[in-house]
Amino acid sequence: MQRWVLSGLLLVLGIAAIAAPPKDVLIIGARTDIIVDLDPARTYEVFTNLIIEQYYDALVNIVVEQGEVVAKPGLASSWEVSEDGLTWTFHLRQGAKFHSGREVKADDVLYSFHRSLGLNFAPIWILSQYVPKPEMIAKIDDYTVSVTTTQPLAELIIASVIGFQGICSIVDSELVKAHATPEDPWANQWLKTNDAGSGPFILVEWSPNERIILNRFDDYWAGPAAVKQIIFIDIPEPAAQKLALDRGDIDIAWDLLPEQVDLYRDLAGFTVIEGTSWSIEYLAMNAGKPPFDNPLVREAIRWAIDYDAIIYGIQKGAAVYGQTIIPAGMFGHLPETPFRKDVEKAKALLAEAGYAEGFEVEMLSSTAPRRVAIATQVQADLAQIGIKVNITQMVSAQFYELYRAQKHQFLVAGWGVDYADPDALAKPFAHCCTTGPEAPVRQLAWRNMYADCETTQLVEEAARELDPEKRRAMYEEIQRRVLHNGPFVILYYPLRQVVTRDVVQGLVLNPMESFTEFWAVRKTG
Amino acid sequence: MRGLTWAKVRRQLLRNPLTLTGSTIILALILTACIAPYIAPHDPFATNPIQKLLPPSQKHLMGTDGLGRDVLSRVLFGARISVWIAFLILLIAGTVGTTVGLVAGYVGGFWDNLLMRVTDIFMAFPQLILAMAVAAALGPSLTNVVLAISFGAWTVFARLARSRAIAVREEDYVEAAKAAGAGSLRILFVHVLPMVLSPVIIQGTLSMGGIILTAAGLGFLGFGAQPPSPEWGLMVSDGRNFMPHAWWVSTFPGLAIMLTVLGFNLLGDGIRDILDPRMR
Amino acid sequence: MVGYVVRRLLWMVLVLWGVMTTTFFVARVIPADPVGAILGPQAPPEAIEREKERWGLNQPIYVQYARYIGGLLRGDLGVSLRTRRPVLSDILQFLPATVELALAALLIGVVMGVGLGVVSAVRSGHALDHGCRVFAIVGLSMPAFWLGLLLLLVFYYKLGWLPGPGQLPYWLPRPPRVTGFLFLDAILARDWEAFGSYLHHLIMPAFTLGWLSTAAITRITRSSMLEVLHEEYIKTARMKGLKERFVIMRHAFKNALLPVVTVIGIRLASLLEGAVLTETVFAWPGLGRYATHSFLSIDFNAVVGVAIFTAFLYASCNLIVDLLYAYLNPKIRYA
Repeated sequence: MQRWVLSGLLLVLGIAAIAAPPKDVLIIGARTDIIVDLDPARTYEVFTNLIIEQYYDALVNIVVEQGEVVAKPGLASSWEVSEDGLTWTFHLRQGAKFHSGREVKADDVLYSFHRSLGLNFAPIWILSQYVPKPEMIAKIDDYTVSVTTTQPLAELIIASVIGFQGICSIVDSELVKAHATPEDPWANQWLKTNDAGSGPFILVEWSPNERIILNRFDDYWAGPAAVKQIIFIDIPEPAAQKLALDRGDIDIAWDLLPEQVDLYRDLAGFTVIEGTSWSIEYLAMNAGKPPFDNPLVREAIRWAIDYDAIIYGIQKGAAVYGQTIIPAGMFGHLPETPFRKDVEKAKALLAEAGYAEGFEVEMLSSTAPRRVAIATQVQADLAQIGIKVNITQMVSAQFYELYRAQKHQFLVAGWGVDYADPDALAKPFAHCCTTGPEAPVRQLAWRNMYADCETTQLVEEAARELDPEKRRAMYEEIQRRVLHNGPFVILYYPLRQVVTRDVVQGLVLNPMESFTEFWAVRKTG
Repeated sequence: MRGLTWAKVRRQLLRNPLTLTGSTIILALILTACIAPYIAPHDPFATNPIQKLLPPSQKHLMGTDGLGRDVLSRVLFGARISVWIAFLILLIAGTVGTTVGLVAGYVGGFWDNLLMRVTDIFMAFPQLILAMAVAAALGPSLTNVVLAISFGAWTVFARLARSRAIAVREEDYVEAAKAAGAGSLRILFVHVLPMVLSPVIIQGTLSMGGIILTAAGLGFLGFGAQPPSPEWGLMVSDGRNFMPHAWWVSTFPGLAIMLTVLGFNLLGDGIRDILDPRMR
Repeated sequence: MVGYVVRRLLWMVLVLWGVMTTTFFVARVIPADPVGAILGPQAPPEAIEREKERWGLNQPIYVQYARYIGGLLRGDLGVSLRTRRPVLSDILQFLPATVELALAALLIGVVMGVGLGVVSAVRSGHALDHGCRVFAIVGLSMPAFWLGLLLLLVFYYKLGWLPGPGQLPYWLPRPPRVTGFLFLDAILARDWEAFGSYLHHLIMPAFTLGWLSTAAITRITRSSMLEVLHEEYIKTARMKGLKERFVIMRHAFKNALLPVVTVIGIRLASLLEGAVLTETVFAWPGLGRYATHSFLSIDFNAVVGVAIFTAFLYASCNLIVDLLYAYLNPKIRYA
């Protein structure tokens, strides 16, 4: 009996020392449990869209060149706009193939857009705010498609919307139709777990909470990718990702914490890859309720916060300094950072507002450790100007219930950019003319009951402005207004950091994280 | 658990080296919890980014954590949280459970049936799952951890109290009190309750280890105490991010949990020995 | 006997209804918007409304409750807000990994527990007895999440003897999903590399969890062995001059096994619970992690579904144990 157990144990241990990861396979450790559905008409989470990006293609490709985001040809080799600025014509690339071997044609483009509009899932607003109806997308011939918009739009807006991988990814219409059923005419069930794309990789396996395997698509129109296979391994714990990276079991650790990333800076064998990410960490004050209805109080808060302590103490420097609502690197960013910690000035402003004695306020935070740390710092900062902050932590389901219902007083939160145009920030942060339920855009400005019809007007005009220089000036004006009047304290723009073994080369992080591509990533050993 | 007296239990416990060890650990824990502010070498909340992640040394016996806080001081203060949580849970669960059990056992009939069926429902939950559900719904905080665990922990006491109450109900002196015209409530609290109390307290000691582990588990998963609280489970969870290079950040609070629970389990094992005649 | 089983089953249904009702309302006690949280901070209000309508979440709570019960009667646990899949199929997808982990842990727990218990009983009162018991109790006192971390640190990171988190090496394809149980799937596919690697990956999490169950099994084995060893027939056997080892294994151990069965059944149910913490540390794709996520995002249907399902497992384990006990011990008759 004992001998039997022992030999069994040895057998198991013996299989231990098998092979290391193969050379032409890129292995990425990441937290993948956010992925619940791979139907491009529905994916909205950053990481899910990142996966979609690898095996689907869109008409337009949004890439970064010399720090600027530009729209490059994707499945469409070129496009132009009509005289009235309302109709965009896209010319499809000939010879681009789906993974099924079929050529990508206008019918597929039409079907893909009609499908997304027909399914009407959460992210569809990105498209339907300007292209609400299916008939606004029309076929001209097999290789030409026209898209009509409800208003004239700057080129970057339409390009970044049409280039949005997810709702605007092009699916293989015949393949999808073959899986449609009367109850499920758009084959949503099938596409949840299957591939109908034309991107540089093919989806081979998705095991929820385990892994995603993508194989190279050799017939990709831009040429085959550098690695044969990509495997995303679900490692939910940053600590476990670090262990696996150190052991050489994975090539890239996707979700390390800033304090862990710091350890690799001077370590041989590893590379830290950083990039701006277009998201914003901010404090919000409800301007619809006292004491934050007084702009002087809001300004006083902005002068009371210790931005450096938050960026260097809590975020460990993994942040880009900035105080305006359009993040650095994006078109129209206004690089003004007037605020720094100045207790005297903050106190004076507070006194001028009639709150010389300070006041008490409730601050909401989700339970994410970083947010709680920020809230704690803010609590300490505001105590110095006589404001007593009580922090209430709640799970995000409760947090957003209150926030969306305008029921908060003060809170800390974050915002990610939906599409690569300043419109995606000006709208949520500055578009609000009435604080009632009838408002067309009920996002951050509305949630914080900050109504400013003039600025709202400007936001609408800026979206329609076709001249880039005039447009830039308009966004700068919007940012200036919100900077001093708005209900926000912009803390920083987070820096995206991943660590790779140094055999990995050619990885560039896109400021829209989900647009990061692995097509050109190589492995040298 | 009939005929069990404290004197008897004490005598038995002191004879066994394991239970003696257990009791010593528990006493040390309670003492630590009481005097933590006087013996902690540093402020458990004072952050100091320059001194972050220092390995154990003379100045910081257990090193410092990611924010430069002294781990030893935090572990010492953490003892207060664990003791406090466990005490509160026992108080709530014990009171609720005993009351339910007493009423069910003494009144009997329909109420007995109803109360015991409700007890069964709560017993059907795995403790941790129930606690997670409640903690998630109420929002993560220490107070809610206490409520969440109590939500499931009272059932054991209810069953125990009920069986004792049924036994005591038939005793002569209760009959005598009844005959003398004492009210039900009076009988319940003056005559029945004292008889029920010592097994309940013993059961409480047996449950302690499990309760502390569950609380730490909730803290670890993010359903419990929130930063910067020096709750042990949360500290282990925090320290994970610094593994493997700064092993001390989560090793020491984990060790503290283990020792504490070990103390209660050793004691509990001894008590079980006394209750289980076959063991002698 | 049949009557007893029927009564137990009916009672189980009632308990499950109670569990369901409790969690259904507990999950909705506090105003929360899981739909909004799941769709993310950017989702516009119209999209959230649309999604709520799709799930029927904007109806009065009693209507939701009635509809849920209606679904339940048809064996439908509803659809998870987070994964957008039927809760039941989610549970069945993640259950096999947990069951395999629990069974492996149980195996370790039983082998260690029975072994320690027998030794402890035979050497009752000696240092070895104390040693065995302390070892078992230490296991019971270990926070599973902490033990897991330490094991990973030592055996994976420092020594490299055992593989890291997960079920398979990252580059190894998973055998086709037939039963969902990786253990069986690997055998069916005759994929011995996957089979071996899987067993290898199983060692640490199973040990973490198994050590936890050792204490209860050690204790019951020890006490029931002690009892048997005092019985007349053992004394007789010894007097007949049979070898001590033979007496212990053949006579005593066999008869001491009965109460052990009960404890094993109870442990199995609580192993499912312990799996919650172990799975998080070892990135094990099981039900425990599904539960944690569902609870953290207050995913209504998943919370209730997981609660009902675990309560069901719990109750079934208890029932089976009771029946098994009756079967093994003819002295007990259920009226």
